[in-house]
Amino acid sequence: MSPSDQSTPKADGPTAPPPSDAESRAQVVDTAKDVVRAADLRVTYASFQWEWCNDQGDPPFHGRVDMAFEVQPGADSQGLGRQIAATLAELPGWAPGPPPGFQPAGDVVHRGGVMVIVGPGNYPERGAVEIYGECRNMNDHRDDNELTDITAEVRAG
Amino acid sequence: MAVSVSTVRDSKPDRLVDAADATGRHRSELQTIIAGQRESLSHLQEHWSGQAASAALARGLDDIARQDRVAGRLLNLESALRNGGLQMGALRDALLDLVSSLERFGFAVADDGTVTPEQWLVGQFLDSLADKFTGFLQKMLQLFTDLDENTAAAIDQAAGVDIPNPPVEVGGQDIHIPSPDTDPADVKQWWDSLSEQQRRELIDRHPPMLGNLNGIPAEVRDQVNVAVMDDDLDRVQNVADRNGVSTDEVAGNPGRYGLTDGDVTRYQNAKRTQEGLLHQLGAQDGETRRYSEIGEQERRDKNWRPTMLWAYDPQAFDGKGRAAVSIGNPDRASNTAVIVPGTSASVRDGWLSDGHNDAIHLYGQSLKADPADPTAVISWMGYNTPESFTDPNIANTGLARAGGDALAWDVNGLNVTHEAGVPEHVTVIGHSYGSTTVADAFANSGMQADDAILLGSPGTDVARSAADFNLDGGQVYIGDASTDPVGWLGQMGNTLPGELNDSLGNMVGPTAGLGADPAFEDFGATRFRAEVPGADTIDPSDHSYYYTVGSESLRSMTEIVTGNGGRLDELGLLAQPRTELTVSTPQQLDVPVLGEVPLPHLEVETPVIYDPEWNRAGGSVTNDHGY
Repeated sequence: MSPSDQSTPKADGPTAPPPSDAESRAQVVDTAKDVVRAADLRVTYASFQWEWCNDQGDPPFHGRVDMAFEVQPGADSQGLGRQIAATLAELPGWAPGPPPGFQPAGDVVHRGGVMVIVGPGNYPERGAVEIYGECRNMNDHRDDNELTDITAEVRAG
Repeated sequence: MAVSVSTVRDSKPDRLVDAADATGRHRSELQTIIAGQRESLSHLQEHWSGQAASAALARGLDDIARQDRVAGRLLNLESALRNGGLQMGALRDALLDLVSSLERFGFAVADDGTVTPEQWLVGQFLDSLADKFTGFLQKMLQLFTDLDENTAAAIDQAAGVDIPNPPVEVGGQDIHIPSPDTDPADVKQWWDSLSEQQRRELIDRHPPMLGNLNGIPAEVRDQVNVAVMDDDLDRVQNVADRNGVSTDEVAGNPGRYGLTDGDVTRYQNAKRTQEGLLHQLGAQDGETRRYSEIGEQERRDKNWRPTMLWAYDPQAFDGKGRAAVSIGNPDRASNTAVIVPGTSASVRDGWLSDGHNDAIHLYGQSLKADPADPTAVISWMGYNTPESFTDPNIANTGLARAGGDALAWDVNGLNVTHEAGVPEHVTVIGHSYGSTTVADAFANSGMQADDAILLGSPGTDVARSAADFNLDGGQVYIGDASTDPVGWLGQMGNTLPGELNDSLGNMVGPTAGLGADPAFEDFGATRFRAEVPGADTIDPSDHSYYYTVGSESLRSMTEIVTGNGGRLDELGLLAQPRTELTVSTPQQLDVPVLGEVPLPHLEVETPVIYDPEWNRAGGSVTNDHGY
């Protein structure tokens, strides 16, 4: 799915046909590439996984990407996250804050139904980007819990 | 695989009930002794004073506390035996009745439950009838199997931690590791009394008991448990390598390679635990390399989460396994959250590694809310859960009480190893049957924590109100979607109409309701918003949206576990409790149960409960996006 045809979730509505696996994956992986490019991130690791949308492993499922990026020693990774979120929000098709109805903690932007949270990493020298796709994939990913390393893919843009 | 009809016929569930009676007699005797000791002690207290007297009294009180725990365990054992015996007995009778009726009507019943018409019976419709009976009978056989397995696990759990604990020779000296029942403060004292060298050698030797002993620092437990897990993986892997066969071959025929079934159980659960650790860490699975091979530098470089293996006993609960994975170090974090799962969760069945990501989400959100001080989040797979929503065990609280006891023991131990000078705020969160377990841990087993969160609660068993949790200044918080059917059970209790149960696929078992509904106004809990986006009817899958990133429930939990529960109001996350309505025509109300599920008897037998969350203004429930 290219950035230009990202529709709002409302326009997609429940009647739109569910996305294929490739589309659900592209929704978050393409977003990751766009984030890396726009914010000029030095990515140290990125992973993709299928995530359950409820606790029971029933459809729908969504794709999720986690990215780690370098933070210079002594820099304030929370402030940096806020700055990156602000940069992304300025891009065409993007908006600040979460999609309507969501209210996560952290610095959040969205593009259509895709939610991106930017913030501090688990260690002072890293920042983290979490990308959540729309919960619309109806294929069975109950047992696809494995993470895949997509570092090279997102770095290549 | 399900058991056969002949196995069911040969089973003697009433012997379990006899054993329960015998256990009950032992417990009464023990309680008589305890009562006598209490009396003697109080007599001594009145007539004897001085230093020696205080020491003797303290020792006496310790003994009584230990005996009380034994008595509690006997009670759990008695209840596990009795529940299992009665339920299996009833199911056995029903199943054998059905078999004999079928045989009387001219059907043959094979040992695996397959029903076929005898040759002298003619008529095509008989085949489809036979198919239906086959399906039904095989379901009953499966249920019997689940019950059998669960009863074994419940008995195992009631018997307590059972890890071999021989003395360990360190530096030419035998060191006796305290038993798992030892007061965590005494364990800590023992650990601190060892020399640096002895401690190092003990960690090197990694006796399995050490990694599961409350009072031992989390860092030490982690190192020991990971080493034990590696041993469990090596045992099968090495034999497979030596014989040039696959690990599956060894696991399928352990005897042929000099291993036992226990070795295979340990291996399988070590694999599941390692998958859980890798998953929560954020790394790929362990096909290519071990969790233990990942060093600190790589974790930091890839921003992988700071996981620890806080408890590991792969043979517990009759092979379902016991383990706890922490993200963050509970000894050093100012805030710790303990996540307690519900039905059908176990190490064996992959609760630590599958895709629900509860702990990952809560940890990630707490890091955003409080970057300087992330909350340590423990996924506590420390009790034996009911097998499924069709397991009759879900309808009784035996497993919740035994599990609550284990939970209280673990949570109360956290305080002992917490770093001096670092504030400590502990929240215990239970989902579904796990919320009953959490409630029992507080109200029945003396668990001490700051806040409690109950999600989709089927009822609180012993606790009749929030006050029964005995929280010291904290609160009981409730997350309960108005469309979550399990959350309604507490109020519906045993009057839950059969039609509703049927329409939900018998998800609540033959009887339902585990006590008071904590979302009800009289309970005195603080209810936060937890509506499922897009929901418009009661739906079994709405029982499980509480940890979705961006949901109002996860946000609320994030505020609570980071010690900011007071902010829920300003964030607009507080919900009104359920109330009872005094109206005579409930069908005209816009209440989800009445709207979508036909409940012909509801208005006569069940008081009408009104959930204000159901009628929230359209824009405030997130109807518009697709999950």
